[in-house]
Amino acid sequence: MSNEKIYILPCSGIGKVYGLLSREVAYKVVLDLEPQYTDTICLASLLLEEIKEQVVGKSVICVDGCPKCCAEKSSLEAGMVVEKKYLTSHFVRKYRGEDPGSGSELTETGKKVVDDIAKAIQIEVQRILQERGEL
Amino acid sequence: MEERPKIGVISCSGEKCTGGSVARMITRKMLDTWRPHDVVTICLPLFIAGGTEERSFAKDFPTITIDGCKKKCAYRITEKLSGKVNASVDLSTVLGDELCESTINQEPFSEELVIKTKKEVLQIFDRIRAEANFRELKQSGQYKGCGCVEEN
Amino acid sequence: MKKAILCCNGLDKPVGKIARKVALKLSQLESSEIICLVLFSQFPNRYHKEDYEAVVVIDGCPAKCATKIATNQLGISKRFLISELLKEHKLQHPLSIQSEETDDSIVESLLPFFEKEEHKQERKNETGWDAKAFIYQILKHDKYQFRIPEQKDMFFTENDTWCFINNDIARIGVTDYVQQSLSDILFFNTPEIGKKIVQFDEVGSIESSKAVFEVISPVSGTVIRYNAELVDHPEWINENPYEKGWIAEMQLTNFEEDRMFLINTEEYYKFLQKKVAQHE
Repeated sequence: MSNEKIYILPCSGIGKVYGLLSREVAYKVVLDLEPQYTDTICLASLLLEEIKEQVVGKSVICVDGCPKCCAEKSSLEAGMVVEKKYLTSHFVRKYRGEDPGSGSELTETGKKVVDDIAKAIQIEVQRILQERGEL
Repeated sequence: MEERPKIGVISCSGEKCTGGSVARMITRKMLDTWRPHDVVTICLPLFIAGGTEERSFAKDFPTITIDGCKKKCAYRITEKLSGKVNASVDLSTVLGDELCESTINQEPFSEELVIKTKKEVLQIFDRIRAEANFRELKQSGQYKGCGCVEEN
Repeated sequence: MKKAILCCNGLDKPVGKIARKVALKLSQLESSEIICLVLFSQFPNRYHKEDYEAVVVIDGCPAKCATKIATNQLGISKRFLISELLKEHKLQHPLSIQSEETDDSIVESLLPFFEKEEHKQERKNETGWDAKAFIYQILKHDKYQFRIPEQKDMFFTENDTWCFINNDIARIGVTDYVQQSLSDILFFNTPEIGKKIVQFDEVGSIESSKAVFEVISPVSGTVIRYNAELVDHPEWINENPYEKGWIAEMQLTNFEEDRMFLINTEEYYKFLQKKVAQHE
């Protein structure tokens, strides 16, 4: 039984709304939905040796904005175990014709997308904890 | 009319702490309102993951990094992967270590923090911009060394 | 260089047994080396990432033991989870640890998901376009790079679409400028098979959260095929709009006439250069 927190790592891509969505999803999960069992970490810091030592072998759920999958790539490079990956751009498809926002600000549609993904991640976190025997 | 070179801005976007959120918002403000025609944002996660456009731009054009805390991830990574950075901003020197390193639920992100740093960031940006313009003029042969610019 | 295959030990679960059988089968089909997981965990320093072209890890169940062990020392190029593959593709599950009865057919049904990307691409290339032979000119503007193919028999329109001619068939698509402008493409609205199109008519459309882009046909003809993969993977247009992101194929009506209104690579390069500069 590990009792280690599961990392939620967003790509936070600055150029597009999908990056902002990923960031807000991570905050929703880590601050609201599962604060006891999850944490986040700065993606850029995964390149620093002192941070890599802390995270190697730890579980992470990646929230990427687009198929370039920067969060997943960086997690794997840092030696983390990617339990699951989500693409915010896939979830936006459900709201076809609606504008989720920009790289600076989300619309109400964007906030609904955040809720959808955060709930899906919450289910995944629960599943991992059950597998570990922590629930 | 010669094309003015744009300046690349690379922000840390640090998810873990308030400083990261402020750094990210400053970069978005530069792009959206403060200097919309002069800025190119470089997406740091894509830069790290091997984005060729991002790395190529940072090598060939002037770049400024904006970091949310004293770890200075954006600065260190840009220097490592692409070469010398023209200027770097460490928000902890403007806002203080304690605030920058506080987590997002201890110190919720606010517009006031962005306004506090605006002057410092724009001063640095405008200086780099002026230096880049000067270099362009010299290379084009328009600058004659007396402060005058020969017009075509 | 060989590929390394690392699979879980899975002695207590049927999916573990299948993981091992898949690994053995793959090692027969491709130039690869199976690494014993137990030996690797005892003597990790014998194995180095640089010695392998790729590292493929196959786990049986969500405990992902092979992944956890391989991650630190070797890094992972591709990761497969047998239990997830069986569930996702609604395949038959193995009966038990002891029974071998259905194992071979389960392994055969799983193998296509492990096949090399290039083999899959070659099988789909039925109309003779050689996707690997593309050479590009690059137009740079700020941080953006727009690829423009230099293929013989490839032409462009000022609506930012292209056509690639192979005898009396044209493959068509949109240019790099379009996919960059739209950002992430989320939907592909397919053209109608059998529909007769006049040059510059609409032939399908693509959609991002920013805009809908009607694909303007560079040629006249009949739609004989569209890229069905784009329905589930519209992002392929962003990845490469000329190769895996092509839109449709058309039986040409009168290409000699169409040709008068098309431009070549050099002309499109100059056109695009002006366009992006004006967009500032």
